[in-house]
Amino acid sequence: MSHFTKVQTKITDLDCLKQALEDLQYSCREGEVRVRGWRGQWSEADLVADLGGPYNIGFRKSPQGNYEVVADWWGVEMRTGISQVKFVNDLNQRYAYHKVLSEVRKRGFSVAEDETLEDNSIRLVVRKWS
Amino acid sequence: MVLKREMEIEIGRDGKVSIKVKGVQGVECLEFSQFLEEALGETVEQEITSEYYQVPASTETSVQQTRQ
Repeated sequence: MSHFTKVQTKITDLDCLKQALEDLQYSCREGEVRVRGWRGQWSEADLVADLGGPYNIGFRKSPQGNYEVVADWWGVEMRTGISQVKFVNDLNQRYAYHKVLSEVRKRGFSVAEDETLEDNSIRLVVRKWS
Repeated sequence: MVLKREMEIEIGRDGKVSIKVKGVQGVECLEFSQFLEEALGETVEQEITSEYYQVPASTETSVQQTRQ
């Protein structure tokens, strides 16, 4: 082992974001979409995940290039039981999984191991001969 | 000489990613996983382990071969 790095994930890749939402079984719409909140209030977004009710969860690209999660969390949690912390954590994990696979494959690595551990973290081993 | 290089990647439940590089020594090792760190976000912690300071065996081998 030569070095060890810890990275805080930032969502910048729209394709990986959509794959992550698909894994979590949300259906998405993109384009000119709106995040809906309390009493018909709304806000613009680049992508929304539907929750099958009056509320939804949106994603908006920031000037720094990463996607921010936009929602009326009070309403979302009341209607669906989905908390902001749980949603964001699950999303970050699935996003990171797809982003890692997409990046290492671009660089010619093959995936030797891919498993979900007991604590629900994901362990990957990727390999390259050079 | 062909070398096996590996990365062990652990993705926590909160999406924090830990990357361990194996089979790559020295400065090259830090560069080896850099593309992935940059693609994912922000590096919050980096620890260099003993192998970093070892003489890269593969380089020695290739130098000897060139002299023959």
